[in-house]
Amino acid sequence: MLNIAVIYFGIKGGIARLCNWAMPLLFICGTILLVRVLTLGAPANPDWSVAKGFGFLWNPNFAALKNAHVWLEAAGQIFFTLSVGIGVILTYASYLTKADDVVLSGLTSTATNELAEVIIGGSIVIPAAFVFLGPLAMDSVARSGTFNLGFVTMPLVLLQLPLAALLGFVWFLLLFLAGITSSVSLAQPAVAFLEDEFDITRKKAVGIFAVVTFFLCQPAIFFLKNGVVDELDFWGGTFFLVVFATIEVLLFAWVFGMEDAWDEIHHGADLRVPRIYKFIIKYITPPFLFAILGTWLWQEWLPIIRMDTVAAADRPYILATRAGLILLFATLAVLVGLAWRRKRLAAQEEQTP
Amino acid sequence: MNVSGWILLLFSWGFILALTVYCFVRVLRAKPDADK
Repeated sequence: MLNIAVIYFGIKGGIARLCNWAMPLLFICGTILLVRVLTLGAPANPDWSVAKGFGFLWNPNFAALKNAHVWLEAAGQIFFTLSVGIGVILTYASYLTKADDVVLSGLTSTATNELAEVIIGGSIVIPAAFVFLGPLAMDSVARSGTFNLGFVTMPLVLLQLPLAALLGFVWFLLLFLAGITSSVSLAQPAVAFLEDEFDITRKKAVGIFAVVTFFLCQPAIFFLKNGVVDELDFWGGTFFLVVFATIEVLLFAWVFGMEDAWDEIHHGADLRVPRIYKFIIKYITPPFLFAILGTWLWQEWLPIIRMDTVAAADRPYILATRAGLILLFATLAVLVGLAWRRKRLAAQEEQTP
Repeated sequence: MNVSGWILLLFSWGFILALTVYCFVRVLRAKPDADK
């Protein structure tokens, strides 16, 4: 409901207003929890210290680099947090004027994002869980999935601390703010698409979006224990992000053209992007992303498609989730096709005397 | 945490913090010009 209300008030009146107070508050909550975790010491076992908890995250394991899944997850993670490959950053970019400085804005949002997720986010859950659960439990904790980590492990860890209720409140407020600021951004492209391409009023577009998402959200709530959220997270939040980001970079560098793109980037920009990035974006990024996708497909597509790691009882739910995603994708493709047709017809009508 | 872990952590944190501060200084310096 809150999402819908924020979207209803538009970019400036809704999303910008929400982010103006939610983002500083998110950083305050994160900093409180970060300081608390850094000052934990080793309360459960002298060997389970915070420094060793950081070691679980930061000690390099070069053997893992041979696993394509690690590369795919890393690429999916960075694309998701920077809103690349899901249409969000494209939608926001469409509201900028020619004179806006996209270089400085892009670099600032990237740096702030890394500050939030690497320094603050990376220093809370895993080190805190290590301090209370120890090294043996960490593998299963890290593999338990995004939802478990935030909503099961972390509250259990916080319960061990003095002022558990207060810290729990700060933690869930942080999750709520991170969630809502992301979900309004994810909703905006769909609402803008309905408004712009089908000439629907904002009120009506938000209404359609609300009804559709209400029904689409139900499987994630009722079949959470069957792995539906993790399945959606993998395809929607990792694999297809890398696929769509690869398509985007190809369109940007090879269809739009690197020279035009370079002029467009620097229009109104204070900073200059080093020229080497022209070469990197055009010749390094696309083959690199293809290599990640190709190696992942070669190493893992069969076990994933056959659902080898999924419990037999959960397989019908996972299969239904995949069928739902295909249906959703097909519906969106049809809508995009219809929008193109409308545009073509409108252009023909304009040309006809 | 081993030595490589510390190097990786300090390099990453240092780089991210320095970049964030640099960007915010540039944004704050650019803003008055944009307002003119």
